[in-house]
Amino acid sequence: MPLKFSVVTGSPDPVYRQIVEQVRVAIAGGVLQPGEQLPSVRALAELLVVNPNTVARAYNDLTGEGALEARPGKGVFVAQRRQVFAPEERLRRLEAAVQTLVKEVALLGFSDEEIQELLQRELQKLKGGEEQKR
Amino acid sequence: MSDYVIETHGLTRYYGGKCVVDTLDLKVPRGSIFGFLGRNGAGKSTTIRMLLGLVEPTRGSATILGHDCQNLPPVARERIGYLAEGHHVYGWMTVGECGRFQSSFYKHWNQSIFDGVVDHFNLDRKAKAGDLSRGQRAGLCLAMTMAPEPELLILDDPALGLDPVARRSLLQSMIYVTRRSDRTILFSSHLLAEVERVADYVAVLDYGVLRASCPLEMFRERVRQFSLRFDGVTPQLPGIPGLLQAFRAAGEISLTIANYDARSEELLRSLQPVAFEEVPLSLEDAFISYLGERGEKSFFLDQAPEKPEALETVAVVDEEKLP
Amino acid sequence: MKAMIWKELRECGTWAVLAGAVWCIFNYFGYHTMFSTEDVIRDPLRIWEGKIILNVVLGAVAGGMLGVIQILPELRRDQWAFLLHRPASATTLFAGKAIAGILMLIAIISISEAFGYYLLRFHLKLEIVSFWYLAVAVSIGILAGAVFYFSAVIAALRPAKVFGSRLLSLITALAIVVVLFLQPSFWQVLLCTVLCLIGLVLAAQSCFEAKGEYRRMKTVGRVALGSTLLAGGSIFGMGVIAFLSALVPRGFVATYFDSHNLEPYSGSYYRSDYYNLYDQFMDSQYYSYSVAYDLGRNVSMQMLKNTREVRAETRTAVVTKPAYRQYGRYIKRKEEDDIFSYYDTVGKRIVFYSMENRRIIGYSGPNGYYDVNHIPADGSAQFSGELLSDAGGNYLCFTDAVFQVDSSGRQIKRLIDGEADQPFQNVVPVNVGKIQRFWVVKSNAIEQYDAEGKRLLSVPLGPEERDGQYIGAVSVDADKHFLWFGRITKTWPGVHHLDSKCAEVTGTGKVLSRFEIDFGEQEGDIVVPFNMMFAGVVWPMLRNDTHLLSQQNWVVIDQLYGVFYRASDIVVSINTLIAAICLSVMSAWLFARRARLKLSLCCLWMGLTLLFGAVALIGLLALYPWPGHLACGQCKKLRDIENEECPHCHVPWPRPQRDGTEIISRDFQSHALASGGQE
Repeated sequence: MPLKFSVVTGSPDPVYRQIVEQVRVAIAGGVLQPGEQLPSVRALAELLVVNPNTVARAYNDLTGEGALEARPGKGVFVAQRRQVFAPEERLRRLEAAVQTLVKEVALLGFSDEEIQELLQRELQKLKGGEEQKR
Repeated sequence: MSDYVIETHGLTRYYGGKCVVDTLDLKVPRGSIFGFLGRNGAGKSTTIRMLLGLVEPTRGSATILGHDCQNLPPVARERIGYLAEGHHVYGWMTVGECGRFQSSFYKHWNQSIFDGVVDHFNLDRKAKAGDLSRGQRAGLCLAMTMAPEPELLILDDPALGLDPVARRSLLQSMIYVTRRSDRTILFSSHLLAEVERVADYVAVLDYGVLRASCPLEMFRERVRQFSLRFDGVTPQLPGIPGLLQAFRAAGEISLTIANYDARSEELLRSLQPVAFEEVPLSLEDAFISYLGERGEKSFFLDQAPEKPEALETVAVVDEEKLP
Repeated sequence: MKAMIWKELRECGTWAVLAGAVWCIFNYFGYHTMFSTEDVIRDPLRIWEGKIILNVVLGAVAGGMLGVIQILPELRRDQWAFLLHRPASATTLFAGKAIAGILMLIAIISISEAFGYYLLRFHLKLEIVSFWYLAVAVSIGILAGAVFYFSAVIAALRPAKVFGSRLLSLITALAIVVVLFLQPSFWQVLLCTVLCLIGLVLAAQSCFEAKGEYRRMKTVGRVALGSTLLAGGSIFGMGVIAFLSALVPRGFVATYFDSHNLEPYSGSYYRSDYYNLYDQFMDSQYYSYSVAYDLGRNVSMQMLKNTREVRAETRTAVVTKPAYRQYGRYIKRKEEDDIFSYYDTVGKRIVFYSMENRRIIGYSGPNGYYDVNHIPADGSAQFSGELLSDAGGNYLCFTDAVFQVDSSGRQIKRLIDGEADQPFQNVVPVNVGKIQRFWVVKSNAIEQYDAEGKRLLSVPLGPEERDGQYIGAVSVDADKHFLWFGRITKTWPGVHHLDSKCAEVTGTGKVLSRFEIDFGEQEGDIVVPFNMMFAGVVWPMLRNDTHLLSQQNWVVIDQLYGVFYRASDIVVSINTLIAAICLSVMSAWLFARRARLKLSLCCLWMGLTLLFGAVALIGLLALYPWPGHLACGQCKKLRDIENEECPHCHVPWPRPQRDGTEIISRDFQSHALASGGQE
């Protein structure tokens, strides 16, 4: 599994959230396949040189989201894709992400069309990756 | 086994007329990695020395592993590892001799841990301890402290003077220690990057007074920064509870607030800003705001510089505000 | 503990060996110097006493140095933490250090002694006449070193100014070493040192455990440390006062004995002068006290010390044995030829030593001279009994016999035999006119013998006359003698009362009359510690300040504090005295209360101040640091920071102010990794 975790300190993002995001991106991008096992909490903690509880919390959040599932005695695995969020929650998350995007690019001077084109390309990449892996 | 390995009750220490530790009530839970933060001279080292019975408190008491700190018997000292800042060793001893010397005092000594740490830091067993570099000496001290596998490890500014590689090794060792769930680490540090990595809990000492003692995440969540934009002149600020710092620039005020809640938000919105945004803070920025000089600052060069005003702080009376 | 000893030896061992080597060099130069001075060329016995002194100094310096270098480098705060934070009691760690230190001390002294032996035996080719003295020299060095070692440890540990109370323990050590050196018998040396060492070791161990902080020390340690410091302070005080008083003019009335007008046994006093101790020391012609009693006229009796001018036939008979330090007693020193002879108090014989060949050539026993290769086996090789005196060089007076010795020392003639159950206590030769007589003091009688050993008279001693300290004999002529028995009793420390009884005795030993002489009270010349403590704060009423001078007057009272000597000064001194006492006792009370001592301790310190004066006050200040004080927020008065409650308004210390920025989590969940079998 060519998944490389890395964390940075001194960022507004807490460490656990960085792990969560990296796992999410990895799953979304197909780097992590459903059913693949992730490193144990202790192993990842020692690898990243962070507190194991931080890793545990990240895994907990991901499990709560439905991205991962814990099998007692065996470890943590990538869950089969399914939605755990209620539709309102999904919508809220999408809106938040889009708002962030809009804020970020507002001052860059791109036209709406240029932005949308780029957005399409990224979404394609995501889906294409998934297709490839399937 | 009780929940806390260290408990202090009103621990106070004066040097001359100056109070360096003021009525400290600290609890360190078993099995945690506990970061002890504060500015230089805030009283962290003094507290640690009082905990180990090396300095007598002026008032108050403390227990460590259930024993009174002022009368630690040898059996208690066997279970506590202490790494003082400065990494003291006897310079004329070789690395190997240091290990043998230390091991003769402890009933339980895990030589493989000692060897492991020494090898990890690449120390020559025949080198004299006085000839080692700062980082290597730190590794040697760490090896000597960890080999008896103490239940409680107290590290006083362990990364002081260490290069990044040595610091990383130190952190790895700390995480290694927590393999056993009953092992606790109390460490004081200025390097927030390291604290962010390994600490479960933090306590913040501000000139002898304990201002925070909570899980690390709680600290991050409770210290927040907001940016308010205004048309024209920025208004005077009302008394906002928990206000740490305010920075006023042209048409903008940036506020850092602790224990932010609905009432604080209401107060901020009552100023009627044009824009109201939260600025995400890194742990370091949060910490600096928390311990920095309280008050309003301005660097507006065009206008006559305003003296930093002491902001109206609201004395908290109601306990409900506190968690 | 073994590891501790190993560590100390490795750490300081090289210094010890170096010190030993340096002292060997000193030895070399010392011995050479000793052997090149005229005195020692004629007198090699001096070297033995010199060795002991040398070893005392060496031991003291080595012990002190070791104590300091074992402690000082460890005193930085975190270094001390590294030392003490380990699962071994502070006592164990201290024992490790102390054992290592004493071992190193023994090593230093042994190295130096071995080298000294080599020097003496092979380099200077001196015959080693007794190994007992070598052992004594080594032991003295080690004992002195041990005393200084622990005092140095105490001095190094105490957080005090270097020229303040830090040196007190070293002063105590110095005093102990001087005292032990001056003991006459070696077993007394051992006893004295062991007793003092017990106190010093306790104090040092307690200091070590508490890192010098008096308040953290256990009671036993505090008592030991307090005594050590108090002793040091007292001695220092004594030294200062003695030094000062040596320069201060003392008003004493010196009595001169006008030898030209001397009629036997009468005194005329015609001068009084003021001198100070220094002058007296330099010119021992002046007497520290003298009382004269004219036995013929029953007025007063002469009892002089260091008399050179008086021809009155008085002798005091005090039994003295040579001290352990003195290797021999000189009988004769021959300067013409190369033979040097002396009396060996251990071997109990006269030794003849060839200075040219540097070896012993022969001995003299009760039967006379014998060669070193022909030692008689019949028991006559040695004298029995203890040597009492040499009576001017021509006699050897033992507890069991008196011998006459010829000028060469080889012809020995037995003069007077003693009885087995009645050993002689002293033998004093006297000249009655030109006739030689001996006064012999036994425990039950005083006898007089003539020069041939024939007993002339015997006066039995009554029970109250035995154990008399001073016995004087005055022979008016062959038929009339006065025997005087004096015993000094102390009615108050510093004040001596002289008990004296006199007996008039005929030439055949018949006691004609007995009478008593009252000398009044006198100031003794024994230095009494608390007299010296506090200049002026002594009770003049307890001393005999003044006696009016009359024509035949006599009582010379030695005033150590001449400032309060004169009669007119008594009134002034009483007032000053009372004021000083009140002030010091009150101060003790205040300081003790300030330091929050218990009532019983306060009273103890007040008593100590009464006895010891300023030194006790200093001790009180040094031992109990005052707790800090701050103004109370409520009542604005000063309150002690170590007390939770204000003594005036009883409010506790305020908790730190909160300003709403505190982030305190009330309960910590006990910590475990988040569950879920993620291991």
